Amino acid sequence: MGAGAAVGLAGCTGGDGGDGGDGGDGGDTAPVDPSDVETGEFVASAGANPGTFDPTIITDATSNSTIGAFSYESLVAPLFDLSEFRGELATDWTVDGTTYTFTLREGVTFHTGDEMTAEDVEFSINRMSGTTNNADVAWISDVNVVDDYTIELTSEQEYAPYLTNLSAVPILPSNVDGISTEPETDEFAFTEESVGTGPFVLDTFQPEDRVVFTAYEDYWYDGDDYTTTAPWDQVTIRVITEQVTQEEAMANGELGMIDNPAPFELQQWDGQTGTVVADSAVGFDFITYPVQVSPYTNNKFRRGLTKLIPRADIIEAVFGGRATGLAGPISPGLGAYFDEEREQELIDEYVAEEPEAAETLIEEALEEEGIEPPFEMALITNVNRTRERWMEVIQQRFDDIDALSAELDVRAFDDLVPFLLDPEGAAQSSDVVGIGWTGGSDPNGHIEQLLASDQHVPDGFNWNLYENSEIDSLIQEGQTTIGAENRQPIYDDIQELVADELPLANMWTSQQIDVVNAESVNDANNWQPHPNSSNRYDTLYSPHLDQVTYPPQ
Amino acid sequence: MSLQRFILKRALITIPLLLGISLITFGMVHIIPGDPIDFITLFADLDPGTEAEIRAQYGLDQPVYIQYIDWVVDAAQFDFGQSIVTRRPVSAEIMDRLPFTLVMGSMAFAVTLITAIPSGIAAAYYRNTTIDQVSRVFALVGIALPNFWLGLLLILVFGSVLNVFPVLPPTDQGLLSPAMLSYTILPALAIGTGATALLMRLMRSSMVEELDKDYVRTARAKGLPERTVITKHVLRNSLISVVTVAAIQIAFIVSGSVVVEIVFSYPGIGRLLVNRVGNRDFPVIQALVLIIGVSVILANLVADVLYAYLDPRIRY
Repeated sequence: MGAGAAVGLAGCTGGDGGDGGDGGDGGDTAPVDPSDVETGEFVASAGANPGTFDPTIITDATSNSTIGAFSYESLVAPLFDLSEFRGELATDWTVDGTTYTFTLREGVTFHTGDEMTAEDVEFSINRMSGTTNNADVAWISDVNVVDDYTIELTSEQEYAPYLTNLSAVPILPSNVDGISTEPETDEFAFTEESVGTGPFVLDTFQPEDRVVFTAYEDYWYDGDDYTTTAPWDQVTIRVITEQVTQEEAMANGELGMIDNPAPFELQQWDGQTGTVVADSAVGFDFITYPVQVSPYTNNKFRRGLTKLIPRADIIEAVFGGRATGLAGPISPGLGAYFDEEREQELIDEYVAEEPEAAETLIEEALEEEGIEPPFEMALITNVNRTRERWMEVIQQRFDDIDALSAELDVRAFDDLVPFLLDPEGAAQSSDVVGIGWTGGSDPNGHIEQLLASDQHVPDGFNWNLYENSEIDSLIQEGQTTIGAENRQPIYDDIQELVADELPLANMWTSQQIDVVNAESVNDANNWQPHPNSSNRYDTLYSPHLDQVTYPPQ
Repeated sequence: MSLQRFILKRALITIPLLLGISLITFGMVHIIPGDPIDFITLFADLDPGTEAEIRAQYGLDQPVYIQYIDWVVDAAQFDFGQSIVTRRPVSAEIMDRLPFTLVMGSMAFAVTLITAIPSGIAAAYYRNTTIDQVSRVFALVGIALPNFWLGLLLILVFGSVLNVFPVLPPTDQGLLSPAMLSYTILPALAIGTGATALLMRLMRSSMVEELDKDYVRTARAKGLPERTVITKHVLRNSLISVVTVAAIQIAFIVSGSVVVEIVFSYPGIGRLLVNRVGNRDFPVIQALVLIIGVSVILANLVADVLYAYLDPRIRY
């Protein structure tokens, strides 16, 4: 699936954003003669077990990067620098007002052997409707199969992020027993068989141990620039929850890439097996306040907490400077939508660290809410060394002032997600949640599911049940306005509103960092980190996006 | 009381224990807050028909006592239903992993017995000498070291630095293949070290106590060779308490495997349990807790029987 598919919670995977980089020079990936390539095997690690194998209902980065991105594809996909969309299963498309017509690639076969047609696309869109990922297809009011290779989508209003959203819709065959338009009750064993069109076929899933893919021999790519099938005979993702074990396995040459390298420990790879490759990304880390619960209902309290956070110090100490501070959800990876100068102004005005002012605001808020200090709170996050570290700094900072008593509660990602998705969970607690969000290639993906009133859990990811009609209108306006130059002021307004209202406090966007074993690939410096951690393995073989990594030759 | 009657009596006593474990295991799903169906569907907004279908599929539409009876009857036939995560039969999921844990546990147990008993004997026989002091230090360190930390240390030293063992378990290798058995040595050591240390100290104190008894003095006075005194008389009497504790150590080895399997990425039931707790895969968690509970009860039963066999006095 394309990078748009990556909209979702970033759990065990690490960095989710940033600018600049010191690694791969991406795009220039053909030093090897594609007609004479020696194939190989690639072994990487995942810090968690993929929780979902049905691509339609994947909501987390681990499952998407280990399943969705290998075996399933969408109509379109963005380039690695997010500058434009390329056809994946579509060859071209036109937009006429609220009608979007896609011409499908002919001769594409599913792993089942059946040819993909427009009926499969219609089926796949219907299948996603009503799921947790409904937002990706909710804008489509009608689907019309014109012929086998042409499909027409209609929306009620013009919809700007249509390509981003469609890049998140995996295309599945409509004729497989056990796969219906009701994925929650489907009996198909997605853990045993892949049915997508992607370049890799699921070979083995040994839960808690490994996922093995083999190259799909009938992959549709027929260009001359790269090999027509993946140059990797086999890709194995080893599930290794213990970070130290991952690092030792990498040091021992048993892994080609490790999952979730901690940015504060990258120096350990100096002169070692692992090569650090980093580049800009989309996404951000943030904390959410339960805005329905007193004293979080009071803006002074939220602002006071936010102004206690030492952003600059954390960026330096935890991220080694490989992150950019944010005031709102729009991150630098979104290019045209991010203005660095404007962002700094917002940070200074609304969220910059001011300990004394923060303490006063918190005390005033508690008094206004009739709460006797110290106010007891928990800061909840998931098992992730980087995230745990910055949450620990924030917890200590909160706990240091007399008005607050803060504790840190670290949970398994799979344990935290149900708590967030439960309308009686995070929304009703008095706890602050710190987590990451992978926002995709369109600004709407950074905002809508977290902040729109119609995206309350369990239908979306707005788990603090935030409602703001002004933000709702702006989200709507952003979706229906065409052209980045026209949309940019709208997202500027949202960025300022979020910084002012603080239903959540955006922290920073960190670089996408991969540590690659130089002996596992032909040229580690040619390894291009994907801006979205959900698509990190797309770099192995995405010929239509001009990105292929070859085995050692 | 004959040994057979003793075994029967002890076996009967385990029945209420087994029932208690089954009740607790079954009850845990119903004690935690929330509706199990929410965890199965990740809080998806279901229409009533779909919800009813899923409830029926997992038997959640029945009264709790019926669910319990059904579950116990099925569990007795090793049928624990379907995994929420993989949708595979739970028994198949467990049978894929149980052999690995059994092999690792057996190796750990073998390491424990092979090292603890001779070193305990040596420490007792040469008490208050350097051998005794060294074994005491080893025992203290072995007991004090958390097994997960020891596991990481073993990986670092033998995997990364000395490059003697691989860090990750081999794939596509049979359970009893040389590669897999070789890989299992480090996790077995990590689990077995604590038990070894404990058993060694117990062996030593038990031997010291026996060595001071009159019958040993008599045996030596009769001119029996020292080797015969130790192996035929002292060792047999000393082993009574050691064998009992050794059987109970099986429980510690099982619980230790939960942590050590995570550190070593070892594909056993301990790792399965930890991961499925994270995924709230209740059918798998219930089955594993039941199996672990039953194995601990059986280990205790074996200990009692062995004790009764070695020391007939306790049958009465």
